[in-house]
Amino acid sequence: MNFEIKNISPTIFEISGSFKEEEIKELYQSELERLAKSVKIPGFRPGKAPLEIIERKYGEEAKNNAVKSKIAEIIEQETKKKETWIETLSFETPVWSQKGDTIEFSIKVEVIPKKKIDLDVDIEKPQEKLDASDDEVKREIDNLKERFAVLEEETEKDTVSQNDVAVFDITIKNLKTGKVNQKRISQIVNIQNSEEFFKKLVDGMKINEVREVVLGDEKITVKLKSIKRKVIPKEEDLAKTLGYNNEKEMYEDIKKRILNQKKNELKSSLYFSFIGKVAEKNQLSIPRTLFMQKLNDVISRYPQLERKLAESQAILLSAEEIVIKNIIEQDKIDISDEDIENYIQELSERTNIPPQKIKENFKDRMETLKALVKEKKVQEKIFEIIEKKIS
Amino acid sequence: MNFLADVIIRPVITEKATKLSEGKKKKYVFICKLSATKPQIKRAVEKLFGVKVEKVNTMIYRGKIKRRGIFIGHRPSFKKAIVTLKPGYQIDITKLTEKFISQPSK
Repeated sequence: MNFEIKNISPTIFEISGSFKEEEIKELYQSELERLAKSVKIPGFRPGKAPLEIIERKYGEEAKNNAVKSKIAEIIEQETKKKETWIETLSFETPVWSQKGDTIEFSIKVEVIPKKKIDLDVDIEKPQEKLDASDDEVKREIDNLKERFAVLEEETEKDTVSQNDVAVFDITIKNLKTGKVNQKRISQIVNIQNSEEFFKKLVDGMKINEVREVVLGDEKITVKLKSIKRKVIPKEEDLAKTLGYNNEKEMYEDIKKRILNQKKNELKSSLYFSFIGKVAEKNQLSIPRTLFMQKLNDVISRYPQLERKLAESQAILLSAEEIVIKNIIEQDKIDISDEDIENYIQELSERTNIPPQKIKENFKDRMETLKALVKEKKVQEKIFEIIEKKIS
Repeated sequence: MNFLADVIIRPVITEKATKLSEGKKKKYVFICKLSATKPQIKRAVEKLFGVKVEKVNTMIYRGKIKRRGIFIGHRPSFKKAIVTLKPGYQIDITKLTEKFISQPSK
């Protein structure tokens, strides 16, 4: 077997070469045996047809599969060596032909290329000092008040306005069939958030009054049962509802939370600006497959994000992966059992899943777990570098 | 009159026929022309595959009557022959099918 690797672009390599037919003899035989178990040949029960007949009918297919397996083996070996690339992302269908007893092939693979990563980049020191202002805390408390508000019966008003919350009996009847499509009893409706026709229909309604409207084929009948009042809790009550001893404790804790959130946001923005600069300095090329994977991740996580923003996020995430994987190789990052235990413990605290269950989940995927721990170690190293640079 | 090449229509390659060919006495199953006689089948097999035949057993399968609405028809009848080879002779399964590759299947 001989083959050569040619660089087509920074992330795409072409492997071309040849091997003797004998080298795939075992693969071919096992492929035939696999086919013999699954294919249906007239006159034979599944798996009972002799190999000679299977070979006559499916020999080409078996050979194709055997060649493909052999080529996949070559790619795997090259990936394990990690001389030219770190990880194989995708490969095209191989092109192969047979001349005598020699099989010639060529295949294009997209990879994360091996590159020496220089982490020595300048990073701007954040100008603003982190602080949570009183206004921010108050805004957060107001939001919480709104969330924990309760509805109470309105006794002073008997006419509903467009800003109220009220209880209705709503019936929707199909005029063509005469059937009742929907019947909702004691439905609480925030009129402000309802549709325009509903606002007009119920405006000025009195308790027990019935109004009707026809929309297309449907007749909607609405009966006002009662009017509700939103009661915003006092700060004292809110603190107790949330489990604090007093308002001051709640205020301090919310301030701390806001500050923590800001710290995390700053840490993340510094991290990604560092990654961006490292990518720029090292002139990293982003493989298309990796970019598409990351873009799909971003879109599925934040479906409302603008396409351009999602793309720039995907580029940064791809660059992060390339940098991390190369540093793992470059610095020969190694992990101990203790590191794995710590990671599982941390994961358990973050997700509220017992460590035992996490271990069971990763039971057959130890390599993935190890890779995650290694990635985390590199991330910690990057954070250390950032901290040194800004201090 | 039957020409040798017309006597045998195609070999039967099924699980049962394969089992017969793998037994102590090598037996092969063929679909033959309805009018073919045992000596003709014997000569045809000997000529086509270069083997010696011990005996030939034949059976005629009458075509089933098929009805589709008011129309009545029937499937063609055929003759099946089980050819037993003399000890020491056998036919390669790939050769068996190669000879009849252009023949339409049943």
